[in-house]
Amino acid sequence: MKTNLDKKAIVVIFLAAVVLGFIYNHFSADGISFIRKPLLVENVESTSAEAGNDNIKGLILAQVIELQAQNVATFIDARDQWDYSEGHIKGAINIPEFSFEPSNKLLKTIEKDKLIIVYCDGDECDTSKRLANRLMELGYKNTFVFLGGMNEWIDAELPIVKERINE
Amino acid sequence: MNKNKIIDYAIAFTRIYLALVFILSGLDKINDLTTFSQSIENYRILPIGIVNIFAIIIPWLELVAGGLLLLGFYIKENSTIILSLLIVFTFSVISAVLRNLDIDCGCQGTYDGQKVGMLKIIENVSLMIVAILSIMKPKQLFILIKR
Repeated sequence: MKTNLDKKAIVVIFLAAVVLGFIYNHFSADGISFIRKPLLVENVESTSAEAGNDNIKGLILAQVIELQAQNVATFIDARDQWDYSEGHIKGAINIPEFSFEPSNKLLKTIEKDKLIIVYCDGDECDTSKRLANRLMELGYKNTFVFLGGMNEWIDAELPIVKERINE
Repeated sequence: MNKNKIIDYAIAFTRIYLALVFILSGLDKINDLTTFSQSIENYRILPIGIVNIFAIIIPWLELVAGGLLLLGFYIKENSTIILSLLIVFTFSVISAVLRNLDIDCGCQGTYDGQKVGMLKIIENVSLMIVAILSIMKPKQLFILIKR
């Protein structure tokens, strides 16, 4: 069947959307930059070390185990509530990255200079990095990412807690 | 009412439904471009540097095409734009499923946290059928703006 499409109209509609998009983005308070920068993670030797540039500070499993034993860090599980309820690191609170807002009630209970360790499933997931980035932007400068995440934690046969979600 | 008339009304109603889905979807994404750009990045299809350009344009393309489709203005052309978007979205979801990516789809509405999967693919294919019907149908009902 011949549909007789007006190709010029399609081009005009597309260009109108492009123009409106860029104008809105320019004037919107929530506008985003044209070029997106990747979130880079730099492994640090200790939690007192500074990461270079604006990189996110990463911790390896051995460091995380030590910090958990010392009971000095707040663990944040950045996965969704279902993953969290199926098993998480003991003492971790659940702040899902996909629905994160700065007004999060659980976040308000954490002091800004507190040592925070964020994790998700593992190397393949980015939610922990994104949440850590947001927390650092909000002034939680002592935020670190446990890159191995839940996968590495379970592989190492470390204890996990299954419980209902904290809302 | 004869059979053809019923079909005409059915196509018009589904066209309006399709338009509303895209208007709401566009508005939802425009309201939170940061989340939408993150959703696009999660698919790991585009180079990270150009993700935001797509995040800025796609919601407005959805909103403009959806709005004009609702008004009945350039129905075939706007349905074609929407069909093209649906094809791109569906292939993105399929590729994410095949790569076992456990990500939020960021499709219609970025806040619901709906994961990529078969349900999303079926939803998109249904909307694609509606768009194709709108393109093929020569005479349309409920047209507010006549060319």
